[in-house]
Amino acid sequence: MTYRIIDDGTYSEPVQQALEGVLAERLDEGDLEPTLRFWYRESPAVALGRFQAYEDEVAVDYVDQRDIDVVRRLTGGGAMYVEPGAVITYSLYLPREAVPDDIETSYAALDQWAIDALQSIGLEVSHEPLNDIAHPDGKIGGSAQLRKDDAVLHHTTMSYALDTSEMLRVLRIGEEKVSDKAIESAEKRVAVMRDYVDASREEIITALKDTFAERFDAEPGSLPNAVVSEARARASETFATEEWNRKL
Amino acid sequence: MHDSATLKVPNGKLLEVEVTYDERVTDVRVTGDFFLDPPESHAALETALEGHPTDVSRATLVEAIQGVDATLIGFDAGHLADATLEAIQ
Repeated sequence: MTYRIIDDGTYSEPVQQALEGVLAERLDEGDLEPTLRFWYRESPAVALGRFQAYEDEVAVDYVDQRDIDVVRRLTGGGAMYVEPGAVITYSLYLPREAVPDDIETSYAALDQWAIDALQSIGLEVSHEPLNDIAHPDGKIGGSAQLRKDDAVLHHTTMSYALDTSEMLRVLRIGEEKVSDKAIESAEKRVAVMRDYVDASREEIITALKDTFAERFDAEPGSLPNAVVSEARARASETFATEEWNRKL
Repeated sequence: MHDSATLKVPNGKLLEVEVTYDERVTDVRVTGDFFLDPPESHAALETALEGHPTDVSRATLVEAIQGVDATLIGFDAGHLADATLEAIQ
C-alpha cells in the first residue's frame, strides 16, 4: 500500500471540512489512494464537533464581531479554536481494512507515528484515551474519526503556538459563568508545542512527514482539481451555511 | 415543559439532553462532544427517546437506545438514559 502525502493547498475552514467528506468518499469508492494530508488555513476559525450545540460552545457575539468562521465538522468530538500557522492539522484517509476495528485501539494506532515523530524532536507527548495527544502540562491535540463502509477518515489537530487567551474568548469554556478556577484549568488543559521545543511549524511538519515516510511506503502527491472543485461546491451548499453550522 | 440535563461521563464525553414534554416526551435533542458511528444515527437516537410517558423506566429507555443501529463512543445507553431521566425530572 502506497500513501500519497499532500502538503499543499490553503483553504477556508468550510472548504477544509468539505474536503474531508469528498476525500473519505473517494477512498470509500476506490477512487483515491491512501493519503496523508496536511492543512493550511486562511483565517482563525472554530471547528465544531458534529453533535455539539453551537451556542453552548461558541461565544456567539465575539465570533460574529471578529468574523470568525464556525464550521461544524463531519466528525464528532469537541470544539477546536484554530489559527493559521498556530496549529498543525493532518488527515489520514485509509482503507477500512488497514484500521483496527476497535475504536479505542484505532485512535491510538493511527496517531502513534505522529507521537513518535514529536518525541523524536524532544516533545514529551503520549496518547491519552480516547482521542487526545497529551503533554504532562496539558492537551496538545485531539483526533476524530469518520468511518465509511470501506474507508476511515482520521484527522488530528495539535496546538503549535495557539493564542490560548484568544481561545478562551472564542470558546465558551472561557466565559465568566465558568469560575476562575475552571478557566485556569481550561487554560492548563491546552499545552502548545512551541513552549517546549525550539522548532518552527514547518520543521515539525517535516519531522512528521519524515517519520511517516520511514514507517510507510509514501510518495508526495497533490489534490486533484476535481476534488477541490467538489469541495468548494459542498462548502457553499453546506459547510458555509448557517443551516449546517447552527443546526444544533 | 422544557428542561435539560448535562452529564459528564467518567473517562468519557459530555452529554447534554434537552427535552420538551407534557405527559409524554415530545421532543429530544442530544448534543455533546461524543462520537456516533454512523453519525447519521443521531436523528434515530433522538427519536428513540421520544414518545415515552414522563414516568418511563430507565430499562425502557436503555432498550430503546440499544434498538438504534449505532455504535456509541464516549458514552453508553445507560448514560444517555440517565441524562434523559434527569432532564425530565
